[in-house]
Amino acid sequence: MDRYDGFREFVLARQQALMRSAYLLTGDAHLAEDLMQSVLLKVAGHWPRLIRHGTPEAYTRKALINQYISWQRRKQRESPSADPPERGHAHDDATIDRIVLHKALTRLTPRQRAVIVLRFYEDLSERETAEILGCSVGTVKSQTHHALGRLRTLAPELSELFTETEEARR
Amino acid sequence: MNRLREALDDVAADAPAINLADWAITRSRRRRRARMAAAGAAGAAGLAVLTGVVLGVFPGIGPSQPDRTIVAAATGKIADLPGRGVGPLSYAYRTFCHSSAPVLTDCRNGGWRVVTRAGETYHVPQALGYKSGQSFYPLAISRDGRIIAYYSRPARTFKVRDLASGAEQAAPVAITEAELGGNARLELSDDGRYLAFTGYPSRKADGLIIDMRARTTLPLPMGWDPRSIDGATVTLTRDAKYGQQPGIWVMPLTGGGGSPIAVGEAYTRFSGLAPDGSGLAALRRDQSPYPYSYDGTITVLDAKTGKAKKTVTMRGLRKDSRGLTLGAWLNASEVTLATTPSDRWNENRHITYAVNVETGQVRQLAVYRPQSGAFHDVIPGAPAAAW
Repeated sequence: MDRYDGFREFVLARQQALMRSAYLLTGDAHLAEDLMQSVLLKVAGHWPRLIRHGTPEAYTRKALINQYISWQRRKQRESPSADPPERGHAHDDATIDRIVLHKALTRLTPRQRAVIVLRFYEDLSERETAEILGCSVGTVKSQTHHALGRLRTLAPELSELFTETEEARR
Repeated sequence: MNRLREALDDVAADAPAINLADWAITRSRRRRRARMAAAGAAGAAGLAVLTGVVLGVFPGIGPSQPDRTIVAAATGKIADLPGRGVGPLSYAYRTFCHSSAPVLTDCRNGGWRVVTRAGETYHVPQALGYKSGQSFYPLAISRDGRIIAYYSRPARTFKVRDLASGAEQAAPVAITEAELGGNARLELSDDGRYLAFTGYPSRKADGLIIDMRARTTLPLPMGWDPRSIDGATVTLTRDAKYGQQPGIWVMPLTGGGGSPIAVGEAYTRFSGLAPDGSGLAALRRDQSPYPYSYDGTITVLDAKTGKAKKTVTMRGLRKDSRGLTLGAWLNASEVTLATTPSDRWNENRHITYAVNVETGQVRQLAVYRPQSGAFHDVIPGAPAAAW
């Protein structure tokens, strides 16, 4: 039996979803690819044990978040390039939201961004998010609160969207 | 979906397509070889140093090769199923291109893809997977993964295909798409000789057993679902839905034999026939008002009397498991069970287990990630988790 049995299938099935999370975390396509390469290499190295324990998905997600936070601790590599266009350009509202949100996300701390991605993109519960980040549920709650608050400040044009999310949490 | 999720989805949609599976394996193998070589070299190092001292020479250390940066390729082109030489399958799944789930590269809406145990993925363009709305068409895989059965639109019937040789045989009877219904259930015998299909749930029309070798057919009684076919019998079950009396029926493939056996009202999910032909496994509903809530036990029912032979509590199943469905037997004491681990709207994990009917011990076999949930994948020997 090959030690990578099932790995290719796992990656084929999950890589695009993971890549989207990586992109949300890093805000940069090249960094997201770097992050994915680094994480998948780790996953491949531990694959037989992950299969034995039935935890490849959980491990991969955790590795993605931790690797990202670890990178960000060492260096700030992001340089958001484009300012959001003024209203009135030929962009629809969704495009404006996307650009503004993209830029605002890059201004959060790594852990705040991880919380936003895990809670509101991957739809994980507070408990699951806490497990991945290795912190308490209370910390996740406060990080979420601060992250949404900061997003409101950074992107006031989207404040309704963050307020709606904050209210839904209560 | 709330607006923040939608906006995050929009941002995430800018992520480039990647295909890193082969790269990660190659790179990981190389690292592993290097580690093992280093470990072997460490053992020899003492001797080498000693030799160097004695001879007064040390080998120079050459310049290290810089790591080549591999940029993820945005290819992802999937080939069609080759005419022959395809290895045993790991699983098959339907893909959807207008889904809330991440859309796969080279997507064909509603099309079937198969994945071999070696990891190769192929489109199966000859197999009808989806028409429109809620009309899905089945694909079956033999337990050893070497034979598939599917509905061919040009042939207007099922075809059975040996993946290694590419040999195909069409069923001897025409079956219209209307006859298939919206969600037909298809079972394939281990040797590919027999096919059994019913519209699912099979309440509106008879199903059919098709003998691909003898070129004959045998109607299945309405309301009964095929669970397994061996060389001599087809095992049918009926649960308590629609006010029916639940039951089991081990029907000879020669036709006209056997008779339905009533089982207790609480039994609702049934396995295929055990290898010794004496019984089959079933799950039992609990007392809650929820229709698909089980009491956590598994029971072996006598195939001749319908009476419970043994009931044990399952141990080791995830607490929030949903959609529990029993399938084929792995051996004399273990039967397959498929579940999804939660009822979250975006849950797409499909987990298979082996349940020991003597001890109740559950062991996980594999976790699958079909693009659009457990309803849209097919695993050889294991059932589809169903609600």
